[in-house]
Amino acid sequence: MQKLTGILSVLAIFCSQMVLSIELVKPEIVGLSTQRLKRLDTLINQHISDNKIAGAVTLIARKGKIAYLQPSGMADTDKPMRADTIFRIVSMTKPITSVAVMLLYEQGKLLLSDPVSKYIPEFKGQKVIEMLPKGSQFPYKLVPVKRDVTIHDLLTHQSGILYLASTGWFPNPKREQVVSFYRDAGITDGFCRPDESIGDMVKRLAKLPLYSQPGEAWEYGLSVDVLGYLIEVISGQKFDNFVKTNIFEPLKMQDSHFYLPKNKLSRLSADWNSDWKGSLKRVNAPLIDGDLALCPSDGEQTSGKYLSGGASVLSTAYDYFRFAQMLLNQGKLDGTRLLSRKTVELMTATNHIGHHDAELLHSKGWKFGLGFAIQQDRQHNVDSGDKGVFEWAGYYSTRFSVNPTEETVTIFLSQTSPFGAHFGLWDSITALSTSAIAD
Amino acid sequence: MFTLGLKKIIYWLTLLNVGLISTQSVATGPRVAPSLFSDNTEYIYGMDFPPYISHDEIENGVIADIVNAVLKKENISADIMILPSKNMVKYYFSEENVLAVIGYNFDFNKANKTKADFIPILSVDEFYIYNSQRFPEGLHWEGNLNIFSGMHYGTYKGNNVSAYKEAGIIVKYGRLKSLLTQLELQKLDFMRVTAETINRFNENNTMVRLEPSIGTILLGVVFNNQHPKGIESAKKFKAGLQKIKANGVFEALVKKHLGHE
Repeated sequence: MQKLTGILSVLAIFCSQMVLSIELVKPEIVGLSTQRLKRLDTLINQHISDNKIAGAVTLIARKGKIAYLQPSGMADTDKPMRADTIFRIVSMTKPITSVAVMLLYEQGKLLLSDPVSKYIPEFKGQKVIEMLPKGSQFPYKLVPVKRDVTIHDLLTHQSGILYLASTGWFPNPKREQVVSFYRDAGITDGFCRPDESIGDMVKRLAKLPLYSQPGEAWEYGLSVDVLGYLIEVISGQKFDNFVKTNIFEPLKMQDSHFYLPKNKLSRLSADWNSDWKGSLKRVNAPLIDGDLALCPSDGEQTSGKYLSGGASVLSTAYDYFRFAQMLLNQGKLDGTRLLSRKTVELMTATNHIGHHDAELLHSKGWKFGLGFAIQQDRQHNVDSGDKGVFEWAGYYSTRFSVNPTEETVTIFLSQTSPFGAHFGLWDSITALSTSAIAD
Repeated sequence: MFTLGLKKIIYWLTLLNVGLISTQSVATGPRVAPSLFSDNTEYIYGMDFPPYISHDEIENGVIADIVNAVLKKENISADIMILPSKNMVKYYFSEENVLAVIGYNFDFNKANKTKADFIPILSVDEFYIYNSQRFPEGLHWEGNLNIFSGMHYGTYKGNNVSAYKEAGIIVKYGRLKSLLTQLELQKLDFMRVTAETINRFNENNTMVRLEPSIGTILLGVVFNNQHPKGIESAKKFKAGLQKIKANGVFEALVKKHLGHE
């Protein structure tokens, strides 16, 4: 079996080089150590041989050059991982949507301080839930918002809009009550693709109570899905078409899609359920865990109505590198300028959420910019990185990190559920990629 | 002079405002309700129940259209706000004493019943439906739920399902359209809908209705006698409803929306 996996891996690298013409540089040219990068092989292969993950693609780039691009293990039961394997990047869609919003910002079509109701009137005069003491006739009351939700609130997850799945992360009665409204109203997290347009969902969502007053709490949720619809309203284009023509095409992200073309389906990785103790099973049906609903097979749909700004994109490590490198280059890639330097500075500023912390992927010390978490300092419990590192992740265990100080991009794409299991592996990957810096 | 000038300013500001609003309305499609732009402080909250009360329908559905016609006739100043959650509609009636709510089967508790003045508008028959592809041999309904034991039944959250559970039926909740999709995908075995729902949403002709009808539901408006204008508005609404029934408007609205009288 090991021999077979070895042969398949060699074939995979060979095939992927045939399909994908990616320029890799000798790590030393960009100040990385070949020897030290090999520690990543050991780490990931150990996870594969321990049956914790089936496979992954890992990419390390520095100073704009890819120094390490390693497909490992299997993409499916009969398919080795390849450099061009396509992954459901889920929440790594959010930074893409945020960049799309900033493109409109740069065109003068919106201001971050604009109330969302200026463009989507259903957001006018929303209510916020307040729980009442036990024994009250109604368990809650609804109070008016102190101010309307703004575009900035949506970009920074300070709108008071939740994910249904958050009942599993931070359970409390108020959250449960808000999510029960979401359930009643047929709101979903968008990890399974409902048969409706994003606009229909957003307009219903706008009628439901907020969990907290706008700007008064950091709550990861469907805010970026609202932004996807906002882009449709402001641009007059379907959201996927806007992203395709304004981001994917200029950045030459040729394998990034909201719905995969039929001829690329064979490159889509399977999703795997891991107990992180050696039991690894291919996921063949929706994964339902309380309010969390994941439908990996929806990634095989070649068309559909639902365009989630928070979750719908499928992509490759190389494509996402191009996106991340554009941000690292302060808005520019290969001579194409997408955003201005000042806009990227604004997106990556560390002080967008005030005294709140972006405690989801990380703990204290991480703030949120316009689309991703940002390392605020080195005073907190962090294993690697520098102040200003920005990163985000996706529910099927995908992750990216950009370190502007060291000019590095680190991308790890796997398809392993549950999401929480891979945190240790990710921290080790970033620690190893950082410690491979040798200049 | 000053008064005249101020009036002019208000006039032009109003015109400008209307212009701006129109742009937004076009941008966000036909589901933008007038209530979103109105300064009217009285709201009538409606539960989303297509095709009778829904942003997806012309004039927000037949019930909303009839209610609006009566409100206009009787000069009752209120806007309809359709909510996607029945629980929220009940909240506004119970806790905020709003003027009125529209929908059906509110299952009010004792306290709410005492302040509710229900005015029926439309009576519709309900039927069980199933997917003919899932049950090519058909299902038979003779009035006893036990024959559906072990099957999956779809309904709205908040509806009384005790009889179904007692019969060993597995209950799944959702919105109408999502339930219909699940029925289409054969993830549900049967559900309970009105005849108009079948007519409207049976695009693939796979839904079969079981005879006889299970019963009738009354769609209508519930005025809140705890609201300062509740009693007076209910009285006026009843009178107005009779008037539009007498002058043919009611009949025309039903025909416009449902295609029959």
